[in-house]
Amino acid sequence: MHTDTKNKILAYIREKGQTTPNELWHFLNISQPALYKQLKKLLQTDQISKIGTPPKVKYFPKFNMANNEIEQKSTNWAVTGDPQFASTEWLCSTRDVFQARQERLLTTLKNLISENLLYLIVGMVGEIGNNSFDHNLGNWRDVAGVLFAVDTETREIILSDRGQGILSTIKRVRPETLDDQTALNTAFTEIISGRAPEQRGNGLKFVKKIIEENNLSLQFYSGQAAVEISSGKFTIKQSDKIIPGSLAIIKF
Amino acid sequence: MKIELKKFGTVLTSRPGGKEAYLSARAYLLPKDKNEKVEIDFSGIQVLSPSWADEFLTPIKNDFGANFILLPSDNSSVKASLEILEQQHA
Repeated sequence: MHTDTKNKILAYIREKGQTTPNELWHFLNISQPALYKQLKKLLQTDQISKIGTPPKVKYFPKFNMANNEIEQKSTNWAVTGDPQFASTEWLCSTRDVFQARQERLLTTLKNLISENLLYLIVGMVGEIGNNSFDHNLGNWRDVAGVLFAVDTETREIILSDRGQGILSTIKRVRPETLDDQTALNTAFTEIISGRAPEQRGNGLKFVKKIIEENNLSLQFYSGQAAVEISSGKFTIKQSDKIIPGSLAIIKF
Repeated sequence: MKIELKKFGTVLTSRPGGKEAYLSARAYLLPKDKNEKVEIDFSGIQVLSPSWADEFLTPIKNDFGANFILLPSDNSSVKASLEILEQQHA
């Protein structure tokens, strides 16, 4: 019975991306002490996270399935924007900071990959990070800027923002776009810009090309959708997590 | 005339950076005579992204047409960015 309630709570939080205790209480129709008891258990077992203080409390699903800490923390930051998940050295609040860290990547990766691949990866990182600034400047949800984390051991680069997300950007020029999967497909395969009439909108096509041609892998999340490029194969699917802005995980 | 991109930096990736570079080049570097040849030299560039290239190269190409010449480069990011730009303008 308790396990069933706990699973229902977890499923509801995962489905909604975030929820308040009040929403859960109405959904489950159980007593408040019973609800809080289950929420406490879920927090203790690290399956959800809690942000805020009463009466403004929200619960978020917590993602622990990633096999490394950097990916886990970045994902939880992308979902919640909670600073506890992001090391201060990962956050680039302005484009200048991002640019400096991007240039430092040339040194960080120099001994790990060929020069040709190094320049392509740094260019691709520049496109993803600068895209976040181009489309969200002055319009961030909460935290301004880009999370930019590099792990040379697991050979991963993670970029994320708490901006408006790809669907919101694409809708400005394609109002008929209704869902995250269609928006991601458009962003990765068509030359179109959320900042029309400016001539732009080739950044994610460039990223796709580099990943596919160099046998790298990419997971790119926005809203309830995810793009995955692996072994040269491009797929779009429903995501198990809701990312309000964007989250890119590059493996090299 | 030849424009050496390395004079704008060796990692050229952001749109605002490309736009700023173009405005500076237009004011101080580019010939006033649109019949003059403009050659773009990529030597010394480490990283070029399509966004920077679009902001800098596209308006010069529009202004100088057939007199706009891209000098060959072996840099992987230069080649990939120019390919994407060609697709965009095709």
